[in-house]
Amino acid sequence: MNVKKFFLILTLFALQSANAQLVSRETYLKEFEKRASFVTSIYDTAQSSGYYQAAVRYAHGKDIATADKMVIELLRDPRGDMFWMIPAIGTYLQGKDRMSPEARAAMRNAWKTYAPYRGDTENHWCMYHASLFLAAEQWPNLPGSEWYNGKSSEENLRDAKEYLIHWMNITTTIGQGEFDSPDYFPEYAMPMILLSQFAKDPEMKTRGAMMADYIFADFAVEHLEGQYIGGYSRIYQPAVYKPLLSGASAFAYLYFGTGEPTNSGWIVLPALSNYRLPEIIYSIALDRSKTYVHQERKRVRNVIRFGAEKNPPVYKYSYITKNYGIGSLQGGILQPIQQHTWGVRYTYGRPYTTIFGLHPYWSALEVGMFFPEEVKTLIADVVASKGTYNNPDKWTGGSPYERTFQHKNALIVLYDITPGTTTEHIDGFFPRNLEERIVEPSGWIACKAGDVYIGWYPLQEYEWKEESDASINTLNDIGRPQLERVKETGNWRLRSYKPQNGYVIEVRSKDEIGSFAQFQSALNTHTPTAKLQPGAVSLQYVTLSGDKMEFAFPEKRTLNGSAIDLSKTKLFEGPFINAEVGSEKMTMTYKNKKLVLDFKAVKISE
Amino acid sequence: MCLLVASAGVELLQARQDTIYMSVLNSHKHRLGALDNPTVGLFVTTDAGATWNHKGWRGYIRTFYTEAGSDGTLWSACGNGVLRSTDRGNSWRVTTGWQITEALKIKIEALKPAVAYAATAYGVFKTENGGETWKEENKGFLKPFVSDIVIDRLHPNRLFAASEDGVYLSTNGGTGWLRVGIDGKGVRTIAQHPVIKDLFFAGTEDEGIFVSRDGGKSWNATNSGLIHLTVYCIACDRSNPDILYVGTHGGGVYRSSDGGKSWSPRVKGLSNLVVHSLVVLPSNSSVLFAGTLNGGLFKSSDGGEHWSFNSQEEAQVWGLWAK
Repeated sequence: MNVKKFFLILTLFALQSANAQLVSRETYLKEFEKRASFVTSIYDTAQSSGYYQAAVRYAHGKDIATADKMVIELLRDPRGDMFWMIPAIGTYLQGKDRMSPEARAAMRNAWKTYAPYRGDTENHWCMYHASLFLAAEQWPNLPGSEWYNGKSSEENLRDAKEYLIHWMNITTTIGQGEFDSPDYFPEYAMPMILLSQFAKDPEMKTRGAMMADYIFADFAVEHLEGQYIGGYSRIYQPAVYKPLLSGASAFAYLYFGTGEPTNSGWIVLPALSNYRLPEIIYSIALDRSKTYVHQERKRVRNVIRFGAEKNPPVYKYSYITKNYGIGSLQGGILQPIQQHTWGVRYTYGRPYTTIFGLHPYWSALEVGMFFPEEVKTLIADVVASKGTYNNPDKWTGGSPYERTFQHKNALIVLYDITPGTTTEHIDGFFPRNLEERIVEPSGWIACKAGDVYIGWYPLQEYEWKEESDASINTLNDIGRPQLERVKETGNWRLRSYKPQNGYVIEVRSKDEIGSFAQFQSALNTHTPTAKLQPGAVSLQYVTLSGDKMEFAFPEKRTLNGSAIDLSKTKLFEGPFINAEVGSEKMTMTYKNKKLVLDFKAVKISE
Repeated sequence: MCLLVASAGVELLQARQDTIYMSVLNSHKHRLGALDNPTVGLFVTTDAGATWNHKGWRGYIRTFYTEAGSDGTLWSACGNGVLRSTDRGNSWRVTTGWQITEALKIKIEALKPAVAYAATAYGVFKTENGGETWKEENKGFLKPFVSDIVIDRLHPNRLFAASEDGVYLSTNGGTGWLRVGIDGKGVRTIAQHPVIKDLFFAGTEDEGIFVSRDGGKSWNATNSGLIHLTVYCIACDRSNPDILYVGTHGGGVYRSSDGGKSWSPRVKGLSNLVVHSLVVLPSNSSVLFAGTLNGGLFKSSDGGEHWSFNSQEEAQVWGLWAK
């Protein structure tokens, strides 16, 4: 299939998926099969070599000789660590009954001679141990001399299982560390789906399915037409300003019938899998007939130094309607490098369906909190793979000088930036396809994105900068090509250089407030009062809905006179999904349906 | 790094062929999960760096440091945990489970080579049975990020740990720890003088070098002449107790000829000035190796007066150790 035809089909599927509706289970399953068949169809005829190309051929029983040839050739020099382990074991599990003895032997030999890195973060460990577990099950009773790490099959099986249960335990008691990541969603979904399909150990098979359900449910409740509602632990550019480009959107396409189809390999093994989403999860993902508030508690990934607590809590607040969602984390450094603290996502104007802001901060201290290498060389190490990290124009990252306070569809963001830090400005992203971007006499910037209206009230003077293309030849700090483009032509950047700073965001849809003119009018009668002194940044504001919000940087939040205590936030709290801290249990409810994932009992009940 | 095998207060210099173990963490061109496989890990030379043999691994497991026990067993501190080899590095076993990750240093008790301590990003772990089992030993640490450990060669139950917030001492083989100096400062490396038993040095982040001349009871900065105050490594000339070397961030190698009282730079030919590892050849103290972060390995044959590139272009040579 040529590239033009592929993208034409992508477009057609995208149009179909945009109209995804709640359907019967039977229809859903049929449509799922169609989508799965579509996303794998590219791979069983592709002549370029790759594990996914081989896996699909094995699964489809098609052109096995080519698949064998690919596998043998690829395994001459395995590379990619845990990013190798998952596709390698996935290909083997799909193909072991069809592959040649030579291909099987090559696969076995790779697990004996190639030593993949275990990694230094949650997604690495999850992929590493899930694939090692599955491999150890496939080749039981082998001594340590037959494995790359010198451990016997049984030792590997035991160690991997212990880690996976530990990870499930910590996730279902104090929250996931790399939570709600549009780009890293596949790194968790794929190993869990493989466990659910191929684990021989009944407990791990059940746990794999339960954990897949768990992370899909986590996505579903903050899903809007293929988009994950922010904030996020991790996201790359360009997905941060083109949300449908993320890996999670590819999974939304396959499992929810929304999002964008993709030719990314990440979706291939799930598309070949027998794992199917429970009806209640895709119902939650798709039904936006009622507006709701959903709150979550997650955790910071392991803080190994420069911090008082290993896994401080992260609090997320989301307000979701059929037309838009606005979500926020409380602010501060909650994840290294790729944090997205808050954002508005809406259904209008693909692909630029978002407005958000940030303090584009970086520091050796930040990365030193999470990585053990020397702090003075860490930034260069990070930039080798995350090219925008130390770019003052970047669109991702958290800041110790940023805090938020959200109530429903109103959000306050405050900054108290210490002079001399890496950047002393804040930025706001305004996409080029907004229908309106009007600066009102009151100071509000009123934006229109179809039937969604966004108001942004800057607390300090600012300037507009039109984004222009970054050169594709841009090099990073170590002279390698920049992997992520910082800018794209035509979008607008609001930049303010005042260190004591902030803004108020209000979002409404036509359904909620009427015309855009009515929205503008409402904004103009609601302006905040702020104090912006170093060490004393605070704001009072009465929302368009009449709620009085008072916020003093960094942590004093008051709503209608009552103090907000974020520490009471549950793991999940909302109309669809609920879970108590420490419970190891998630309860999903939708209309008259209920699904409980009980990780203590390792049981799914309806 | 300095190594002496000691017994009941009597220090024995072992006459043997010099072997140097170089732990290469990374190649600058590599990144995790990348589509190139760098040749990194453990390299060994027995001819003073004329040739290096790659001893592990086919892959990239982030090798920080390697040391040999008195029984010849090799131990490597790696991102994947602590690895051990009983056949000179021809085969390896990961001795640790999933709980131990990002091991930065491994130190082996001289007379009991089955006893080893791992300094990790998550604190100290100890084995007493050659890595069959490991126990977390973090009682007393306020912040357990530990970069380095030294075992007092005369009293092996006395340990010093270089932690995120100072130097900690254990007098009971790691069961409990107490901070004894450099409070609140990030300590990157710690070493015991090979000849003067009560003399210890600690290299810090941004605070220079600290010395203890009373067996670790008190610690004082000794930075005269030291302009670059982040110190990653310390090496001693066992043939002349007054000669010491340190590797710094940005300042390359400094040398002291007065037992650590004052320092002067030794950087001629050293094209990368971030020196993370240093070793003095045991049989010839004029020969030094300096491992840099992203500049590879350098060698000096005249006590640090002149340096020349030796190997591992653009690599992060995190650890060096010799016997």
